[in-house]
Amino acid sequence: MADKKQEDKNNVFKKLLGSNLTVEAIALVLLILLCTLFDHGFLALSWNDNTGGLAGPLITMLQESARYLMIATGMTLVISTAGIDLSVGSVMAVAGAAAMQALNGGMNVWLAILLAIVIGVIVGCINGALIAFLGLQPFITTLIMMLAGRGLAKVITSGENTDASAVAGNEPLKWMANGFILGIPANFVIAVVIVILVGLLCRKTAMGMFIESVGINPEASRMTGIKPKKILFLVYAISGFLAAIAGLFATASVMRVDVVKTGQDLEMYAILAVVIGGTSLLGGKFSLSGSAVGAVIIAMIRKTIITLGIDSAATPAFFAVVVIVICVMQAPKVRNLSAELKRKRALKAQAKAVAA
Amino acid sequence: MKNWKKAIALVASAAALVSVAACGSASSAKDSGKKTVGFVAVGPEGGFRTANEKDIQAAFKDAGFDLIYSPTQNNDQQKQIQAFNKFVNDEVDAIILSSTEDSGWDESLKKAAEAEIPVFTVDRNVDVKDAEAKKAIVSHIGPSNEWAGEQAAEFINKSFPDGANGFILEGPAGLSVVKDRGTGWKNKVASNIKVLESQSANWSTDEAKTVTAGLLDKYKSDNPQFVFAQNDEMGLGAAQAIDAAGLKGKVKVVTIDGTKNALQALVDGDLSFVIEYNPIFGKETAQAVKDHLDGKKVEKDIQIESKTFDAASAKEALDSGSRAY
Repeated sequence: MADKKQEDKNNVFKKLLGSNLTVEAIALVLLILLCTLFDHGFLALSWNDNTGGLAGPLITMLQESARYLMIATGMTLVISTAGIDLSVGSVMAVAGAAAMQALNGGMNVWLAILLAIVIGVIVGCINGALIAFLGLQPFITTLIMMLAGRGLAKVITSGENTDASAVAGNEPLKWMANGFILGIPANFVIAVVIVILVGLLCRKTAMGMFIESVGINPEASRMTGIKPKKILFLVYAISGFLAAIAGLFATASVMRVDVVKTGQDLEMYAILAVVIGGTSLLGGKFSLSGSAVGAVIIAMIRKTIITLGIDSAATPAFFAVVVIVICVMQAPKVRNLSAELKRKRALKAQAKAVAA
Repeated sequence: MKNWKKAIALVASAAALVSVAACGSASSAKDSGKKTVGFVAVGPEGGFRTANEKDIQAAFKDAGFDLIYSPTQNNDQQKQIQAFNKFVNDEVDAIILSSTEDSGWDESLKKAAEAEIPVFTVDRNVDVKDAEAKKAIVSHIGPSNEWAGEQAAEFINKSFPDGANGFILEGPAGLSVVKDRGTGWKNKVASNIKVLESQSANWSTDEAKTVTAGLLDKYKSDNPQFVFAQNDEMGLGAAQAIDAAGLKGKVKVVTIDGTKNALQALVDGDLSFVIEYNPIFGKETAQAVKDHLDGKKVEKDIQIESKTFDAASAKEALDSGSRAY
């Protein structure tokens, strides 16, 4: 009896150790520890009467992570179908530009938000239609959309950085990015709720399995009665939708769209978050919770750069090193290192025993 | 070996022949009509750049030139170099260069010098080591970035005669603007003004907000009193972070560029001081090109005058409605 219990415990322990999420959690905690070592007030939280919420380095980190959560979630579904969506950063800029320009033109703030989301979904649908129904390469299609989207954002604002901070009645949008719910950043709460909803959609229905099967073998999944084209179309549309929300978060934070900088390079961050989260770029099994923690890690790395005061010329290098270390930590070879050592030791002992 | 040399000589002489022929055709084109000017530009990237490039395009049109506008994307220098080389091959009459980066132009400029095409650098200066390449550049036209940095330092010196702590928000590392604005600041800043940290916020409002919020948390105990943002966009983001932290009015924000939005923020009290980086010098540029092509002497460094703004003068400028950007 006791033996069995021990074994169970061992199994749970092994499972935990083997899970990607554990590695991610360790990486996140290590980064937070590193920051706390440099800045002893890093974990401090205080109440800010000015904003009506908690304040502190961790809170601003969560605030920034909201947009990564959105695009990483969309990217997870897309990558699971063995595709890729390089256009998310540009969709963020287009959606943000549309919202800011509409607000400046006197549109109601809710309509402006809706407009931004609709535009994001449309761009996603175009991606999806080209890839699913015309059979174009996802990489090329979304790469083109990435360039075209940037141009579209510039057209929408006629090359200016539209500022809507002074427009009356913009409070709801401002609150979305800067407000607080029970002291926690509103955008983080909204993002987590959306991630959970997408998770429920995938795991409580057969949706998730459909997506994975399309990623593993579209032909086989078609023969079992799944419609791969519809699934493909859907994931790109969802990705566009989530990128539009990310764009709203990014622009509403300062109520200003920066046609060149908004969402720039964020497609790379989204892909990184997905990879850190343990979803293979070859498609197939995906982990939304893994990507979500990956998104928070990305925000945390950026926070670490500021906290450590890393020279601006060295920041990309630092970013790369941290990501590589996390990926190495996750590599099966490294993770099985202890088991491997044990096996070798046993072999040696055996050899000795035989020799004796 | 000998064969190689022969081959090279042959190619060289052929090239010479072709270029002579090309020269002939170019000069005949010159007689027929408008002079062509190639504009290697950065492309629209916000208030300053858009105003600047529109102004240059308009001024050259007014002056009777045929201006070919060739913008790059995302500050990609490679595309600029390609555009520049294409202009040299097309034998335009002059090239206007608004470079994204200050180095890496030697080879292209050498080609321009060989083809005897005059090059005018605008806004950002280029750093040329090769003597042959230097000959191609006739003149640099633009406001001085160092001067702008100096003005920022002098304002902070004056505001805090007893010293203060603060931050600098820089543009992306490696750009000449970032270096020059930083140099200007270092030249003039008083010894009792302490910069706690310089961080890059990539010219972006959104990033500047995040970075400033982080810095304010990190240096809470050091009582930061100023932020020098190297452009308006970042200054506006910094101001929002300061506002969110409940420090509005306690931390002075100084920015460079002078866009309408920044002047409005100055009137509203979000910013404390704005140094203009005047983008309107299309006329001066067109004049310089015209003078040079007419055989007149052109100054090597044409500095465009800029202003500085506080809340009062910003209100005046906004009310007069004369700001183009």
